[in-house]
Amino acid sequence: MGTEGDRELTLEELRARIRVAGVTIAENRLAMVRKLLSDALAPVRALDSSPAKTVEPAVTFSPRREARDE
Amino acid sequence: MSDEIAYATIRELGTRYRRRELSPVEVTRALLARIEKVDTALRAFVTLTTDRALAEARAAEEALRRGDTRPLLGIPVAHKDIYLTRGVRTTAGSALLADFIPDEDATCVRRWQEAGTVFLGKLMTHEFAFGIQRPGHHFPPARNPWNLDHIPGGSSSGSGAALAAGLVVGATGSDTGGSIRGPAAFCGIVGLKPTYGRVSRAGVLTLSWTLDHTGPMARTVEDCAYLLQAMAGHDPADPASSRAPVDDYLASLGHDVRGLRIGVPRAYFFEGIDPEVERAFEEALETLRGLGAQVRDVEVQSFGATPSFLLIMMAEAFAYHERDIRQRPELYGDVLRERILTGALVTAAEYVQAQRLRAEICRETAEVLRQVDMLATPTTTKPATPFTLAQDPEFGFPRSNMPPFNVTGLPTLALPCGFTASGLPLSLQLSGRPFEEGTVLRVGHAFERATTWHTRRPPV
Repeated sequence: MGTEGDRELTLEELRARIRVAGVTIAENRLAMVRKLLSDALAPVRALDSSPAKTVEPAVTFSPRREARDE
Repeated sequence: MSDEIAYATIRELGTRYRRRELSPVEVTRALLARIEKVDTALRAFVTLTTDRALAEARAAEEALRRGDTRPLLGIPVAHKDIYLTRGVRTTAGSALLADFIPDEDATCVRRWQEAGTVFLGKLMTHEFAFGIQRPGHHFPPARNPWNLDHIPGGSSSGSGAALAAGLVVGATGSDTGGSIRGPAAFCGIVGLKPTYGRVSRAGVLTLSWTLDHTGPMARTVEDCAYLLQAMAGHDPADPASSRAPVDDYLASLGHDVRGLRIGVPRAYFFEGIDPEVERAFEEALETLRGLGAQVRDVEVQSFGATPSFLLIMMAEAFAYHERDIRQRPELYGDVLRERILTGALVTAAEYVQAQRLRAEICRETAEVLRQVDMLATPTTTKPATPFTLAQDPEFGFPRSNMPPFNVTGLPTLALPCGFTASGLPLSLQLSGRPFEEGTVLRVGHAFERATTWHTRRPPV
């Protein structure tokens, strides 16, 4: 686990993202948006990606069923 | 109209139709009258298709006379208003689509039609299945029949409310972060989010391509099994649709649960849990033990990373809505607009990292599901939220027990397991291995037969 997980998204960083995305979010809603994005980002920022396996971008399942050992 | 008809199951209606004790037209008329009486307060329906319903009920009567044995023949249903319905307005609960009349049916709508159901109308949804409507919105939200001051859950809010109030026998729902199971939990009914790929999403408006699921909602597990049977199966129109064979879900219900191993992953699912919810859940586990299941705690550490699913959901939602929300933002409700625009702020790398975390959650869950046959958790940690809180601009997006099973795509059933002292329903969540809907339904059915929670009726 890295240390970035503890770092919250700052208001300045949020404003920079809004500028880059070219969208408009009311000033009085920034605190709420910051919390929403920070909470979602926390696990990603805590991720040490070096040992993580390469994965597909979407979930797929094999239709084969595994044998049960009931 | 008697509660006996309003709350009849699919099996009961089918039996009475074939004994000529009741007819689809009588039942359809009775439900339409009940809708007229109670839905002014509930707002579960967005659009009623009265003439079409009566025509379909008459056709069902004819078919019954000819000896047609389809189990869903003459069963009144309604569809969440993000399912496209040919010639019938499909609003997504949004001013953006207030007058949109599709020229095609969603695959699930067509399959239920082909099964002989009677189409009563379209049911309220949170706006585009993602944002509760605040006061002043073009489409006022549905209300909870157990207490009108509380939300019925979302986003399949109308489906949950209509079923609990005895206005329909079955309904479609969709579930991206809990939108079938949340309304099932808050309204005291049954909802099944099938395995990702089990039921077609073709013709259902998108929220998030890699998290969206479609599925049935009903008042009993057996009804859910009937409805799933008619909607499951490969559909070339949905790129994620699986070719896995479809089980006989009704046959699955006939087996008991003795020896079945049920794992309880307490970390994550019990954070901030309401004591009444916890008590009901522990009693549910005791019931399952009493039925012969082996219940034990298990650990899935990576469930803790579940909140990152929001990065996926919001980024995909923004990708879907980008053109409209940039050009006509005023047509989006406040809550939805803010959530979708937040998706514009997610970087590509963060989206990819969230998908990598998702893969780790899937891997670890699959590992645990080699040691146990299914997982049991409380569907929600709290009973239905009051509107005053849910519509507060500062309410945000609360942490939830349901997204882990959108992330993993596992078949997951929500069913009643108790009530609070104030009379709000509580719910048990059962999650099985991929494509093992039959096992999940079997355990739910056994639990339902051992309890009476599903027989309680709201004061409507």
